[in-house]
Amino acid sequence: MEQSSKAFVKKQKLPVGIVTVIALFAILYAWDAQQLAPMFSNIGTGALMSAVALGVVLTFRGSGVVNFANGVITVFVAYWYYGFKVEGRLYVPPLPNPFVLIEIPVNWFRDEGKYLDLPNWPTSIDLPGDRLTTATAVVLALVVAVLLGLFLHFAIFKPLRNAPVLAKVVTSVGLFVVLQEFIRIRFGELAKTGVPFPLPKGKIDLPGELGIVPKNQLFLVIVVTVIAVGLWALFKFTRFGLATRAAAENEKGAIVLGFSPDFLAGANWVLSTLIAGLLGILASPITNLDTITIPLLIVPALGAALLANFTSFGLTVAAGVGIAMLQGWIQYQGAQTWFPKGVLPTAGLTQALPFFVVVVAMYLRGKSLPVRGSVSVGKMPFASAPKNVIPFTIVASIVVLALLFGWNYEWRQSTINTLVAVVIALSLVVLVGFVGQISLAQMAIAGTAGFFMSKYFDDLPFPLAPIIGAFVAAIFGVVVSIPALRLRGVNLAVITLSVAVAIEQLIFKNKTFAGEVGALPVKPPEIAGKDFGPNNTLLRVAGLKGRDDIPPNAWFGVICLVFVIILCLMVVNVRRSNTGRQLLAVRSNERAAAAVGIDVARTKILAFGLAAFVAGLGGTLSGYRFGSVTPQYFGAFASLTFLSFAYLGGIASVSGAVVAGIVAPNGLNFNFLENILHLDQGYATLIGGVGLIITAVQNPEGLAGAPRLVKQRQIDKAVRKKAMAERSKVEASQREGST
Amino acid sequence: MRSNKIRFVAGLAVLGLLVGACSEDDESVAPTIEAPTSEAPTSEAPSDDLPVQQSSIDVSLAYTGGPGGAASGDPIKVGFVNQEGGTPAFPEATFGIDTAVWFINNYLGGVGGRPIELVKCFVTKEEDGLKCGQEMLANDEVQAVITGTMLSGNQPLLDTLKDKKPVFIGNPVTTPEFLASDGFALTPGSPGVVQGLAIFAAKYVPELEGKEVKKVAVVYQDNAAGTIAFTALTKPILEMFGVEEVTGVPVPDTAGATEMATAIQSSGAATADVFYPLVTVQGCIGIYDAIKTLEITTTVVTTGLCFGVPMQDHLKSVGEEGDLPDGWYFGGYGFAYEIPGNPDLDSYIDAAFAYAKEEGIENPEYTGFAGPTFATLMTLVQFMNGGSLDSESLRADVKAFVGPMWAGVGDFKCGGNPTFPSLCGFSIGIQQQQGTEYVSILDGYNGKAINPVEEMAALAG
Repeated sequence: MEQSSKAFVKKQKLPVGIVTVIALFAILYAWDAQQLAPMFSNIGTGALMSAVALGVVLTFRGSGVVNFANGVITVFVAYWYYGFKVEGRLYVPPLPNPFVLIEIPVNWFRDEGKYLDLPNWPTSIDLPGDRLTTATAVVLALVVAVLLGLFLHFAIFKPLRNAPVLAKVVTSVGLFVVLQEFIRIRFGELAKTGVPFPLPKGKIDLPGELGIVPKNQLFLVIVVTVIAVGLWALFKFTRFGLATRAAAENEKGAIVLGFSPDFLAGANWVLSTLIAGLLGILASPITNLDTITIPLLIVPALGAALLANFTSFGLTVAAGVGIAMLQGWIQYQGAQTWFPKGVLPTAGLTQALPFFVVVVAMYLRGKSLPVRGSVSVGKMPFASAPKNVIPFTIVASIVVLALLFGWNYEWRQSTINTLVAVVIALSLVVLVGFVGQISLAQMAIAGTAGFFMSKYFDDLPFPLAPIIGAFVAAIFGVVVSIPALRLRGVNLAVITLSVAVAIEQLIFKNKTFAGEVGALPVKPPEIAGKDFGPNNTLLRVAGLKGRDDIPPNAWFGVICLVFVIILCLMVVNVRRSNTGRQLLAVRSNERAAAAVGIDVARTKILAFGLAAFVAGLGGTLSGYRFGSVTPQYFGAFASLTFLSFAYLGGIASVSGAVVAGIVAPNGLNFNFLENILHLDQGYATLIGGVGLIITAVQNPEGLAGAPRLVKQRQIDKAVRKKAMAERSKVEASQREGST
Repeated sequence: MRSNKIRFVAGLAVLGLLVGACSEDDESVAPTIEAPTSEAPTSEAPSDDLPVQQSSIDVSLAYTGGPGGAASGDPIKVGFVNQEGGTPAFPEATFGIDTAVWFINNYLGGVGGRPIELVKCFVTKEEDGLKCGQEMLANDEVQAVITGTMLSGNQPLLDTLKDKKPVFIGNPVTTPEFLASDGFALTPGSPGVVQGLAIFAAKYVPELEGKEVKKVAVVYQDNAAGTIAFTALTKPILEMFGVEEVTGVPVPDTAGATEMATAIQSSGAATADVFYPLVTVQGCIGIYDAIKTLEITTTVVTTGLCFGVPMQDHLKSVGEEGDLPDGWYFGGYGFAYEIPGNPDLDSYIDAAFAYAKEEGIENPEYTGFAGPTFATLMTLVQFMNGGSLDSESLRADVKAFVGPMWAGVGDFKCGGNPTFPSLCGFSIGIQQQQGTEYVSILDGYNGKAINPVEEMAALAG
């Protein structure tokens, strides 16, 4: 009986789903009809979310890339429409200026305000007439979308076709950063509100107390639904669609059948950017165009895509609109007197909803979560065994001490920023580099240590307080590892991103826990009754202090250095130990690792816990550095940025973590770019993003691994040359023999 | 080996070119400042040889006490920190202080004949506040720091400069600023405006609109400033003044019209007696659109954050005739940009347009946070012209300052606010948009400005 009902539900999915939704609405209506009104007035957000999710599904099916940048692509195209329609301008992308090769050396010797400023590319070109017509502006913006899709495919993701999932994730994160900075640099930082587009006006009154549906929002839902139906038809009835589906199932098989996976991937990229861009344009009158609002929709969009198994377009739209409606419902409930506002932050709950959606999706989907087929899966970056550890540690420590005590406050601060970043990058080396588990929640986990230390352990003596805080982070890490026991690759990345959002919204922004000020204070560390905090610049130990009296205190930097040395040596030892070999075995092949007796689950949990502990120490050091912990610093997208810089430095080695710290935001490299090359911070971030993409495409081992890779290539070249020479010899002797 | 060298050199060149993309001219920033649709109020035509009116110069000279004319010689440096370069951003505060520097240096004789020069630092995130504080502290020529508007980085900035260099807070919006012990806000700050509006909603709307106010719906932004504004400054005051039901709904900082519609419905604004949105201008535009769509006719009371060129442009694009939504009440620092009659404010607007013209800024955003930032530097220059050029004496001057404050209204005393020691001003003004007219309700123009501290003390008996 039970089996037959299950079989019925499985067979009649659609009608059962529709009936369930209607029943649910009926129950809610009977309970309190007014609660449905906010749901219907949020469907426009749902349409936008669905468009972003459709793009994600398309690129995944077409090329195996889960594009974390699809939200920012949506707003990117909408900005071009704004430029054409409102300003009548064509914005020129930031192009390299050849004159800079003259400017940099000249300005090196000049004082501030007297810099040489040679001509540069124009930032925009005025188009004929004051403003373009809406139709022309839309067409031009969509041309931009098509070009962007082609560029992304040919320049970035085609070379990554056989790269590991990690490289693809990191590249799309790099793309996110680059497009965000591009928008900010070219279109300005203020949000564009109410960009004109002739959407339908007015509302449709719903029966009873259901409220209204704004016609403009309904129009967006209709558009996105039509697109979904079109995509369904395209994939079901056309040769292109069937080929894409075939390639998604089995890329090798598709090649055998004569399809070009490259063409399919390129076409799907173009379709994805086109759909995202179109909805971005259509939604521009009713949403803000800025670098945050729509780009952040990627989190719920990923939830919707996951619910749809990264396959069904119809389900993607339904899930997107459904999530938005659910957010409206939660917001309504949050305003009711019965709602425990002190315990559950209303706004946070709506933002964290995708996390719960992802959890439900995981539960419902179980083991059938998608893993896309591909011709081959590239190797993870090489995790070389550390060599010359002690000499390297001594030299690096001397350099750091020289920067702390011999240079001014700018270098001191950037050195401390670098040291804190090294700690967090180390945690990613353990988790991502050694075990291959992609975590996009590492900064959030680091933040738990900082917040809990501030809230509960601030009165404990140093260094007990940060260590206990780090243990709290380790507990969070172990909890996050639970889904990792059955998920890997991109699925794990999606869920950890959702976890990061949930931690940020439900813990860091929880007024009961973190207070209403938006930050928790962190007391300076004290050793033997002396304040070693960053602001105590008068502190002298053995007669030594920083070069000037401007914060930060050099001795706080020494504390950070001690932490970094201990943690680096610890990670080096882990890599060299039996545990390290087990971690790498799990990374290479879980089944093979299990076959040789390695407890894969235990190994993963250990890695998550250890990485979280390390990250937690980074979080506490960060708290000491600012004297407070804030949700902004440990937000979900901070995790993405840090993973990117860790990858740029070298994700699979301790030296990579050190390089990552140097290139991380506000680290030594940023200080060099800003104070020596006099580069705006936004441009520095842009360059960082571009560097990340280039690294991911050209050099998966990161900057730290570059020398080894160069050496390896030279060896390979020499071997090939030798083989060729020997072959020529053999051929020559064969020819001689035959004559 | 040779090819490796070539690659290395090529790599360096590529890096250089990449860096070069970063040294472009800043033309692209222009779209962030947009066209006003209304003329600045003027009382007389500018004289032929001056871009600003003589009366503006006279009024300003009387305030700053400078020698007049163009300043020259070694500049006196003043620190300026503002939130720009990300989202949210407040470039109008920078416009306000740039206007002040231009005006003071060209027409007011600077400080004793020496020009003012700003040492600027911008924040986008928490750690930038620390960096800016360090920079200001490191610069021995900077003796005082003015802030524009900052949601991030306040705490580290104030901590770094505490007891070393006084911070003059242009527009206090966050708790660390309200509670700063070595920070001085020469306005009532957002607490004054928010509390004053709550009192207005509960006590004065019944008189003006002829209805009881028992239920108030609030939509506020889910950031530190918005949360404090609702939970600590609005809800308790409304309840203290007899409002029975106060519903607050937080929205993300970047919420547009769709999210606002949901939030408005969730707050029960349709059946409330007063609807009180506590959001920035972009949020206000979303609120306006949502209210129109939902056909809500509740009395709307909000802050001066809803002012601004984007709102004017939006209303124009949807066919409205006024610069602000019809019927809405607005709270601000006593006087309003839209109503001529206050000589200080009129002089500021005159100077702002003249400066914008000279700098080629087609569409200056002179409203919102620009005015108070301008006023803060004018007051600092007054102290400096009085002989105070170092941190200690400037701190002493501001502590002793009892007004009159530039474009301010009512009493003035630093440390006089029992809850928020950094706030030196008290009284706020209320105006209303009536059709195409912006009219005075309770403010400096009619001498009926609301003093929230006094009102609360009176109620408490």
